[in-house]
Amino acid sequence: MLQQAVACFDDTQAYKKLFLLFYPSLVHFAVSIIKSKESAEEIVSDVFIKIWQKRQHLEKVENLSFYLFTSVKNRCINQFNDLKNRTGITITDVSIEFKSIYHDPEQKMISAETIKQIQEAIQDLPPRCRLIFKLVKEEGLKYKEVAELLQLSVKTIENQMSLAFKKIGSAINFKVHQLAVFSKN
Amino acid sequence: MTIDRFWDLLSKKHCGEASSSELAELEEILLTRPEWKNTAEVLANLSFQSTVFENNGEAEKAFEDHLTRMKKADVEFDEIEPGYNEIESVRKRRNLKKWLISAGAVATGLVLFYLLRILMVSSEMQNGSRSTLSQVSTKPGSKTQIQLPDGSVVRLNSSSSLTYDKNFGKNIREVNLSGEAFFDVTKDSSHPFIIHTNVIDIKVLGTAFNVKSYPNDANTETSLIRGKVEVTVKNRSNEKIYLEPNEKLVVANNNATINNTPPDQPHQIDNKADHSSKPVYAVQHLTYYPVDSTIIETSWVDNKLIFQANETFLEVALKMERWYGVKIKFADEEVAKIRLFGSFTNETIDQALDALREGNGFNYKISGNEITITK
Repeated sequence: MLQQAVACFDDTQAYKKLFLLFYPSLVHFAVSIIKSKESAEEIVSDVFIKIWQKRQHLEKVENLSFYLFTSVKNRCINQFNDLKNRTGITITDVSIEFKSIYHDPEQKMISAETIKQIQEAIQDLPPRCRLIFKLVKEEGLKYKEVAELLQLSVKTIENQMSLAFKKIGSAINFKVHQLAVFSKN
Repeated sequence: MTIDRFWDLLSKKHCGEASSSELAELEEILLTRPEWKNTAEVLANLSFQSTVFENNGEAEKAFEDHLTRMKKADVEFDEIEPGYNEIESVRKRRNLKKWLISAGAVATGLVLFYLLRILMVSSEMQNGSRSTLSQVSTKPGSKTQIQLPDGSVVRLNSSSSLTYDKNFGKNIREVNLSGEAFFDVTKDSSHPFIIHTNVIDIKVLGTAFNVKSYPNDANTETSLIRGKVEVTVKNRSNEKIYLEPNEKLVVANNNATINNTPPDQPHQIDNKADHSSKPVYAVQHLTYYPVDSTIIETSWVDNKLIFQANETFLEVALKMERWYGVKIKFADEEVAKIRLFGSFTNETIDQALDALREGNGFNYKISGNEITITK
């Protein structure tokens, strides 16, 4: 939607909104690859400059968030190779914050306590698992896209998501003992 | 084994990756294991979103840096005019050629664009018929003045935004405010003027008053200069608070209690901490700067930045950040607790910091837009 506004109207306001919307996640993502906040910010800024220059083509981009994440990744790898002459990305120390979890307010059974438990469970996920979970749930990427982005198999994404759901599900108070018992089988 | 399969299927379902046979399989598992249903439902009702729209100070700053980089790279960009941008002006800039080539796509884009715009800026706006919103916003370090269609004048302080409907004034005069503004409302008793903020709604007929409602401040303040206002605290809609001139209403933005109670006794204070979901509020007197009797609450309108004696450096830094459009960091926690007072009009940030440094024993370093305060 914003994408169309940028592409069709040269809309600088929409461009700004787009920037504000994606900037934090993209910088986080870039930092997890190149381990430098400064370079990460530069890379994300470069990607957005390209977006503005090529805005006429923006309409044709099917999944903008996938497109942005992929562009950031590619630039990170290029820079990384320039620096250290190494290929491949290793993702470590990803600090992904889920700033807020929204839930259906009608759903009375989710207490503040439960939300806290869920947040802690997310923080306790292994870094790679947390990144995958974030890309899928927060950025709305498909398993296939995440797999391509992180150079992993779709099966791995499936397993990691399953693991994330298991950890979060188990953190929820209800039936926690029962679930723990079953999971040992 | 079943439990692992359950997590597989559940995660796929909630990420839109499950096939119809997998969905059926999940249903079947839930039939045999009704005790797992609860967990499944809780997870189904969660959605994860980053809160960039609520607290995007850092991203805003990043965007400005980004624009600077763009300029350096000689990328043409019709920059958003500082301090003042209206949706209307953006519309004028629309590419006419595009209209002729793909009018259909443009129309779709326009509708979606406005729908999104409405979603983003007007969740509070009750009368928001689509495609008619105007937004005026200011960057850190800049202020602006707006005259509304009814003749009311709004002075908007830095890092603030005011949103109103294009039909403003036809039935009801309604605006949304984030940040700080001084309102001089034209009298019109048949059309009440309503200001919506995060935690309070203010209803007036014709008055002059100041509203300070920055999302990252501890309190929302309404200071009345003349006339009368009626304030409703959200979550307490059955109670109405009336302010008299020379009074201000302080409402805690979170569930915190109000600190910084000035020496003069508040008229009324509400400290029922057990009602934690309801904002706590207090009515206090306006404060005067002892040197020249300026009203501190509205001094920004006259381009004066005043710190009261009981404000910590941390609170002062937040004001300075907005005032000068800079970022201030503390390298030392003790320094952040120093209590400062002073008043600035035309001083630059260096001059202001130099003056504050006198006798307060701290140092500072400026690099670009970022200031680090050290011991």
